[in-house]
Order: sequence, then structure tokens, then C-alpha cells
Amino acid sequence: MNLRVAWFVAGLCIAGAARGARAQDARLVSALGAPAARAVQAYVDSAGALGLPGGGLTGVALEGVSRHVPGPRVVAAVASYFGALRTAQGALGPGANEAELSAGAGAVLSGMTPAQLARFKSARTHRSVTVPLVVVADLIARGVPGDTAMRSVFLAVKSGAGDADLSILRERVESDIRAGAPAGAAILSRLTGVPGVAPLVNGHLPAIVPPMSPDRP
Amino acid sequence: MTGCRRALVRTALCAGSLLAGSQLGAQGMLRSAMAFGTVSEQAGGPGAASLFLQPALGLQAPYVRALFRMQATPLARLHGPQLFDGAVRTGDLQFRGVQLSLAARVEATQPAFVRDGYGRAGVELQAGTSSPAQGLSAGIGLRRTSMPGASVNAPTARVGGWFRRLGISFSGEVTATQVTNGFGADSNAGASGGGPVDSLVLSRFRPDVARALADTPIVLGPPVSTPTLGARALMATEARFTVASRVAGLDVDAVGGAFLFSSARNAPYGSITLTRWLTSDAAITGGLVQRVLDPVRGTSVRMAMLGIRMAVRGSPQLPSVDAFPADAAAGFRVERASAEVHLSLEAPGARTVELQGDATDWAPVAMTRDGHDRWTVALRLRPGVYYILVRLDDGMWRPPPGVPRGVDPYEGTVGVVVVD
Repeated sequence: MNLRVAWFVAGLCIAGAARGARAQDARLVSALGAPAARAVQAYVDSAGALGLPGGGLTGVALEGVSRHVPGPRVVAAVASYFGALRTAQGALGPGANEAELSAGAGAVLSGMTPAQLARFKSARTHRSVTVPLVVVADLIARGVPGDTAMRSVFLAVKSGAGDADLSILRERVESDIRAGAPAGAAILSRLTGVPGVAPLVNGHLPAIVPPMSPDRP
Repeated sequence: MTGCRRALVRTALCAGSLLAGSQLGAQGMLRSAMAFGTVSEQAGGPGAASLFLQPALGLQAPYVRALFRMQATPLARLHGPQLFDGAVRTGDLQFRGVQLSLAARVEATQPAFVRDGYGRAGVELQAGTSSPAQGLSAGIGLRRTSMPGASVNAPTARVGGWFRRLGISFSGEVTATQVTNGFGADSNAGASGGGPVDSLVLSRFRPDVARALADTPIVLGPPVSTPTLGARALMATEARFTVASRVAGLDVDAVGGAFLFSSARNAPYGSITLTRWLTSDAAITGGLVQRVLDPVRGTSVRMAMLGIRMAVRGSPQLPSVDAFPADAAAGFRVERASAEVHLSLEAPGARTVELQGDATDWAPVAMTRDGHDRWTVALRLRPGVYYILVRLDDGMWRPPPGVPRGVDPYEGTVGVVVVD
């Protein structure tokens, strides 16, 4: 009897989850049209087969729906994010968890190369690289030149900075930028305040990693 | 390309860059008013009814905010002046913790019984400082008033402050200006219909624009019409306070104030308005108003009003890379409580706060306010990275304050929240 009840409950849970997924699908179909919704679903299915977080792709599509973005552009955005997830997976390795893959995809969209992603992972073999990658993407979004942002955070990570130290660094740089400081100067001045980071020689970041792809404006 | 065309192209490019990322909104209000009590003939006598149409257009661009509105009386038999006013304010320039801005305002009035109207224009340099729950502001400026056959320039000085506690906003300000008599004008020139800035029209209008213009408004002082005072200067001061809150789903806005003269009778005014939003774009509004018609003579009118307000959304709700103003929202927090994650932020001046993102399948979710102006929502989230946006009072969606930012596949800026 207990086994039957367990199977019954499991069936209800699966049905409930399926109903939620169908509601999502219906929303995509009604907003994007059937062809675009099918294209999005194809990417989600492919992501599942490759061990990538399909929920992130659905999220990208639903974000486009909420912003009233035309269907073809939504499909292009989902394709772009799918590519970023695959790049992140290749660079971070098969052991990367869902959060690291999402953060890695965000970093790729910000301009980081697979080689630079891989260097981050190698600098933190036993800890998650989620927060360092999120911090890099944040600094770039706030106007810090890509190469400067990446080298700065990498230097902090190599010096042993923890997630809390990186978060504090990010908050201080954000505060400085809002107060009017140039973004690049803000990160350089705050970097030496991170525990374990040695003073920069003539304000120059060591050339630890290969040059980035062209900096975002 | 000729020099003229080149200049036009440059102007267009400049305007385009200035307006990139801007938000445009429009609102119209149709309002009927019935006067009651002791009312002067200038207002049409006791029981006079008026019908006002008040369209308004607002613009919020990265460096400038503007609001233009009209008040028209469509039926000739009914009483009421035709009004137009426009206000433009630059974005805040931060200087050692003080926000500086420049504001300008123009107002033109065509009174009901006067052949020629009158106009006012003024500029003001404003400085202010604010935190999430209170702020101070001050301004100095110059005002020019034009009436048939005459005009006068006068300096103005203003100080004000605001604070918010327990979901209620309070603000007060005092404005002083020097008025020099110089008009041998017709006595009916006092039928200006001016009086206080009608911030009630602004209170629900594209909230960011309303905040920009209402928090540090330009008050140009009373209209000048003092043929009985002879040729001497007098100081005119206006003191004004407002209270705003939301009670049982109704927006409650109350304004009270008075024109204080060094050599004339004081002229009090006030209003209380209730607004109920039926949809996100349409509302019923009504209230009671005592409006000053001629502050120097002390004539005023009391009206009961009822109307409908419609708002038109402007550009698509793409998130702005601009942060929330420091006094609008701060302190976003993520706290896990077993299976649920509590997302919260401080927004003491907000009437509604919503959140959307990966965590909500990009459907807006309303946040609820606790007793201390902190807004919270609890969601069941697995560990991971989530894109998040929030908005206040149906404004623009923005990354929450204090969280990392990221660029999404649509090249928009989003907040990035890491949940453990």
C-alpha cells in the first residue's frame, strides 16, 4: 500500500510539473508564434542532451516575451545564450555546476574568451568560480575595460581572495564609480585593498592571462 | 551638405543621443468641478460648474526631464481659465554629496474674463541632498511675470524638505520672492486662475518624472496684480506642505499652504484628492480644493471635483542602465530561509514595488511592504544564478540597487543574483 501511495504521489508531482511546463510553453507559443516557440524548444532540448541548464534558455525566451521582443530576435538571443553556455562548459570542464555555467555564460557574453575562463577555473580548483565570474561581468557592465576587469579579479583570486572579499571589492568599485571616479582607476585603486593582493608596480596589472578580445565600449 | 543642413543634422544627432534610453509618457484627465461656499464673481459665482480637460506629456531622458500640460475648458459657457505650463529640469549633478540641477518653467494663462492672458517664466538653480527616507532642497532663481502692458523680474529663494515614515510621505517648503508693484492693470487681471502648482496631476504621472519635478518643484510665487497697493515693494512668501500615502488601495494626496504677504491679507489654499487606479493606466479621481484666484486680494474658490485619469505608456519597458536614485531604492538583500529565499529592498517613497526575472519566469510579482519601508517577496529558488529586475510605481524596470550587473542576450542590463 505504501508503495502504491508513493507512486501515486510521484505521479501527481510529475503531472504538476508537466502542467507548469505546458503553461510556460503556451505562453511562448502565444507570444512568439508556433515556429519561434518550436525553435526555442529545440535549443532547450539540445541543452538537456548536453547537460546544460535548459531553464536558463527558457528564461531568456520568457525575458524576451516580457519585453515584447519580436519572435526572431528571441530565437537569436536564445541561440546566443546557448552558444555562450556551450563555450562556458568547454572552458570550465565537465565538473562545472549549473551556477558556474550560468555565470560563465554571462562572462562570455561580456567578452571573456574560453582561455580566460579556463584560467579562472584553474586558479580555483577546489572552489566555485561563480562569484569571480559574476564580479568580472559586473565590472565590465559598469565601464571597466574588459582586460582590466579580468586581470584585476584574476589577480585577486590568485592572491587567495574569497567570495566575500570579491563582493566587497565590487561594492567599493561601484560606490567609487557612482561618486564620479573613472571606472578603470576605481578598480585599480581598490584592488590593493583586497587581502593578499600586493601593491601594483606603477599601477600596472601583471600580465597573467592572454589579451582579451576587443574591449566592450 | 549645406551649412544649414549640417547644423540640423548635428542638432538631430545631439537630440537623439540625449534622448537615447529616454521614456515618454502621456496622461489626460477629464475633470468636472462644482464651486461651493462663498465664491467671488471672478469664479462665476456660487454653484458655478466647470469642466476641465487636462492633457499632459512627460519625457524622461538620461540628462533631462520635462513635463508639459494644458488645462482647457471645452465649453464656452462654463468658467475656467485656459492654462499651459511646461517645466524642464536637468539631471542631477553630484558634487560632494549634494545634487545640483537647473530647472526652468513657463506658464501661460488665458483667464475667462480677460481679453489678454498673462505669463510667467522662471529659472532656478536647485541643490539638494537625500537619503532613502528624507531629503532637503534649496533653490535660488529669477522669475519674470508678464501681464497686459507690463512685466517685472523678481528673484526667488526656496527651501524645502521631505521625509517618509510608516508609508506616509511628508514634504514642506517655503518660497520667498520680492514683488514690486508696477501695474496699473485692470482689476480683472487678478483672475489668473494660477495659484499653487497642481502637483496632484503629477503625483501619478510617470512616477519618475513626477518625482523629478515634484520633489524639488519650481514655485514662482503669486501672480502679480496689486493695483490697490500703490507703488511700493512687498515680500511675498508661500509656505506649502504635502502628505501622500496609500490607504486601502486609494492614493491619498493632501496639499495645504498659504501665500503670506508683508502688506496684504494672507491667502490660504489646500486640497485633498483620492485616486483609485482601476487598471495600470486608468483611474478615477476626486476631491475637494480651495484654490486661490488672486492671492493679493485674498479671493479664492472652493470646489468639489470628480474626474477620470488616463495614462499612456511610452517606450517599451527596457531596463535602463541608470541606477535607481539613491532616495528611491537601496539595500537589496537575498536571504535564504530553508526552502524559500527572501528578496527584499528599501524603497520608502514607493507605493508599489514589483520584481521579475528568471526567478519568476519573467512575470512581474508584487512585493509586500513591512512596517519599516522594506519590501519583500519570498520565492522557492534552487541554488544558482538569476537575472532580476525591479520597478517602483509602474516605472522603468531596473537592476536592483547594490547587486552585480550583467548584460543579457538582448544587450540589456540586468541584476545578477547568486543564490546559495
